[in-house]
Amino acid sequence: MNKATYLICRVIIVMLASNNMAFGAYCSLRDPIAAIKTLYQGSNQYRSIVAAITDENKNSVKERLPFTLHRSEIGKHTLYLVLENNKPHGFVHARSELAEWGLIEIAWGMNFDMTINGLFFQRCRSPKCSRELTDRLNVLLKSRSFSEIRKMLTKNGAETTAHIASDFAKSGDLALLAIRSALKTIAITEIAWKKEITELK
Amino acid sequence: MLKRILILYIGYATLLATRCKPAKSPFSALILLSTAPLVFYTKTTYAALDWGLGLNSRWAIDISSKASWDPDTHHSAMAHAFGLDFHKVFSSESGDIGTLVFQPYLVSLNNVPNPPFFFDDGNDTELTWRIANFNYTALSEGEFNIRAGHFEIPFGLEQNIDTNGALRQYTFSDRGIKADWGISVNGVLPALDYEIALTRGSGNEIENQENPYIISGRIGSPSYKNLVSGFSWLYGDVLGAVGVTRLKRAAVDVAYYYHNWEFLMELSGGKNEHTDTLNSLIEVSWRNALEDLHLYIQWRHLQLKPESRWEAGDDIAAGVRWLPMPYLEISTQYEKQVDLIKQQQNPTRLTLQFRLRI
Repeated sequence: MNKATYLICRVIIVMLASNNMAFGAYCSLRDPIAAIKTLYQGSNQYRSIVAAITDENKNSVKERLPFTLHRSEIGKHTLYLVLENNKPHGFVHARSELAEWGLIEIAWGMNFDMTINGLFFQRCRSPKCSRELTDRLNVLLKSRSFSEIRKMLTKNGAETTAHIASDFAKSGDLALLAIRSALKTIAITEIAWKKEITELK
Repeated sequence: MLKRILILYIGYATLLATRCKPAKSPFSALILLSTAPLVFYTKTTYAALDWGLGLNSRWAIDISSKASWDPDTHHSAMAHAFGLDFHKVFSSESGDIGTLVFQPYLVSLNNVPNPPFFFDDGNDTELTWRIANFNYTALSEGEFNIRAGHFEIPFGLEQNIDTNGALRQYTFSDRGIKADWGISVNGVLPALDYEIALTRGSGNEIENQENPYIISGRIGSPSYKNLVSGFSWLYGDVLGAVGVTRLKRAAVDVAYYYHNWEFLMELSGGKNEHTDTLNSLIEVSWRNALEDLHLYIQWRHLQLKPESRWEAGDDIAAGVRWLPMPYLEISTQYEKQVDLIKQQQNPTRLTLQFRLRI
């Protein structure tokens, strides 16, 4: 490769590296309407708040957790502010998690104090993602804060504690994935939407 | 001011140099430093555009080149597309008002046989519209929305699976139209998703010639589940190269997801003017865990009854879609017609596409 070709390639690579985005046309974006209606029963309007999740945000999550976001999570994402009678009621934020059979997308409901309100599987290609499992995870995580959920994992975050592991013996991989996702969701929401959340409070 | 810019530049260049892999030679280091202002310029441009386009917006430049080759006739063709993909959610204090999607693409053809009728010939360049519409969502919390503009005809599998700009396509070629100008009502109810549309019937451009129109719709089970099914219909006069054709179609589609596998099926029947038609598609595909590699195989079966007896034809397509980097897609597809129908002279074709989103 001559120097001119190398220079052109390098310039293109640097230009591409300066814009973080996931592949996929934006016409395929869908609002998590079913998730919002399930997580916040009753009549609820919602307001989108789009923010860029950056490499810096990824590093900030890494400071709070022994794991962090994967590369496809970098880019613009939407936090949905759920409104009840035109007043802020909570948040919904969907995150994609890597699993052995593909991406699992979980929509998380969060209360204003950043405790978990509930979860909704928007995309899970395992038959184990049943209604029963969703209900059990909701019981486990509902109203829990970041620090309370953190205690459900071992120090290195690679496994659930023995108590959780025995409770979810048949679906331990999904329980671990959901707990890690809950922690990541709270962390990245507080980091990437800090200004908006502060203004709302 | 100049001093500030210089400090900013040196700081940025240093940051860039420290974040990149160590330079192996003075030449590499020089290149790193020389590209720093370009990165700074690019980031500033993106930031300025973000600011100018307002809150809740996303945008990307989408560039693709597609080369196809017919091994029987040794005919080769190319198509290049350069477009904007813009998405913006308009909101008020009391909630979202609606979503604008705007995707104009400049498409240039080179030696393409049988191009879409809005191209002058197979060596033409035209402005095309993939999607360009506003979906008004403020009426009923997503249950009843009104869309106006250019959008995909709500029919069959294409309603839930994005195929814009991809080699992997389903059955729109059977209907002769993929997207159209018009209005629709759409929404997500607890037990079903729906979209019902009235459109111009002219595809890329709004044409009044011979007064085309299409009434179409799809009602399906919730798209977030692993088993998704739908019923759709289409009726109307569709404008093509030789005027309008009266189309009638009804279809059922099913998608089933199991671990890394995706199984798709679409069955449709109806009439093209006075010719009865039956169309079926089955696809099996597999994705790796990271979903940056997608392998698929499709079988399409078409039956036509122009007079008293049925004629049948089959197509198979096999393809690979690979994302080696988040902004680059490389895909290839091989299509072969197994049995010929007089009216459906599709060649054997090997296609390779590079697509970049920046």
